[in-house]
Amino acid sequence: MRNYSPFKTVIDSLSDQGDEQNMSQDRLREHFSDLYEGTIDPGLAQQINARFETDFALKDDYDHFVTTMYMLGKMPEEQIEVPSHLSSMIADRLAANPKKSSMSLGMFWRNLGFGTLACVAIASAMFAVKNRSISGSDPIPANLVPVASSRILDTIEIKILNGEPTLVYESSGPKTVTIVNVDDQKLLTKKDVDGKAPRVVLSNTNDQSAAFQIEATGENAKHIVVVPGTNPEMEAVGTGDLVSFAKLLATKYHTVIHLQFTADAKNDLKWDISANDAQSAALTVLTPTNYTVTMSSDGILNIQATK
Amino acid sequence: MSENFQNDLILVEKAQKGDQNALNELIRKYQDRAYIYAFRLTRNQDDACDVVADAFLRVNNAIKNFKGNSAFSTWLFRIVTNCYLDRRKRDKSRLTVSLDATIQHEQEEISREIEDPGDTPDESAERNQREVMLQKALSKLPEFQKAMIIMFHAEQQTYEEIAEALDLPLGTVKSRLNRARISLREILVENEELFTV
Repeated sequence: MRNYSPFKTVIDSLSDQGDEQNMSQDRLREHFSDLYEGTIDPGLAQQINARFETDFALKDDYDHFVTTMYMLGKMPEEQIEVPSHLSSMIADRLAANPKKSSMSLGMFWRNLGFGTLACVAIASAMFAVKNRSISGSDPIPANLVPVASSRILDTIEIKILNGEPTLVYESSGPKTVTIVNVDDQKLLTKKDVDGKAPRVVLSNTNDQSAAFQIEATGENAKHIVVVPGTNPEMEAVGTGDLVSFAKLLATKYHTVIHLQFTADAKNDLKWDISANDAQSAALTVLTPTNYTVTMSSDGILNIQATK
Repeated sequence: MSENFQNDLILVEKAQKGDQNALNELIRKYQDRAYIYAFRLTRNQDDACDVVADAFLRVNNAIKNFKGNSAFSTWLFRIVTNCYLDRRKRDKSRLTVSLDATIQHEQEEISREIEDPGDTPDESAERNQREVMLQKALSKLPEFQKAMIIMFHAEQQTYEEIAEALDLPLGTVKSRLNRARISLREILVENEELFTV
């Protein structure tokens, strides 16, 4: 039984014409992608390559095609910045949706983690542990509609805003907020705040997870936010302190982790991680009598030492 | 079936039962990717945001009809593509501004500036030129061909995923993509110097 191949059919039909030079250039061009990607029938590839020896115009066409493919191959490298107001546009569009009027705008904002956004024209500073130092400020777009919400004062809150872990803080009076890179104790930012503080995006471009320590005047607990890096590789078994464990969890489950503990919290931990999710993994290591482990609606794992 | 595919399926099932948090989670997860694809199609920030917002509105309204035969992301690509094509139909009569155009600013005329992607000028000059030429050439392709090119080459979707997203047979996707690449080559070849490197 003949092994049927669409490529064979083309060759056969062309050969039937009895004149290889009559092979239509257009028909051969139909196979340029297959030839380039190496998915072409070997017989047809041989025939086209033989044709290139005599048909220089066709060879030029194919060379240009290869250059085009090379240019197209560079397309993923283009850096495209997602505008900060995209979430608000989606929220507005959904809220205005006549088919689903049951969901209020406020509800959507809260669900997306925008519940405490309360001000336009404040600035947000972005910094990273590697390559990107404090980068000035980006004004929040004026069309970002503030939502009435209960004010949470003097509380360090970490939320996912526009897909990024973000510090949200509002003080009842003059306070100082500092953020330090836990690894090298380098001061990343220091802000004097009286009222609403600038939102600060905690961005990590490192391979490994990074830990940010956040302090505010009068705050007794230590707040450390662990942001996953780009490299998912990690050792599942190990020992260390709470921050090391949180870094491992962040890496393995690509989860942002907010730690709260007092300076004397017990920190000697042993782990052997195999759970399917970060919260379960944390609960296998952190005893419930000493820690509260919860997952917030925007996907941040909160670990709070109770002793 | 990948873990990501299964996680999305769980969220979709919850969203189909009315769980708004699950839908929001899907939006959060895919809004950046949808925007990048939409921006590549429109080359305009406002238009891309608009396309993405429209797309998620359609997702919201049609999530109950999603059967889960393909990945959620594939379905989303299809919706974003349709939103873009619909928008292009609506805006056909609207004036467009090319990259070379100038902007009228009060009494004076200033050149439109294209954002520097960050490389050093010497290293990136040729690359920038190629990128600009490629974008110009892409803008001359029929919209559907352009969408396929972007899905395959920029978003790195497979032929199979594109076939699912556009509801076309695999062979049709391959032949149309080949045709689109050849058309693109013909447009680019007019700028002969780009091919002499």
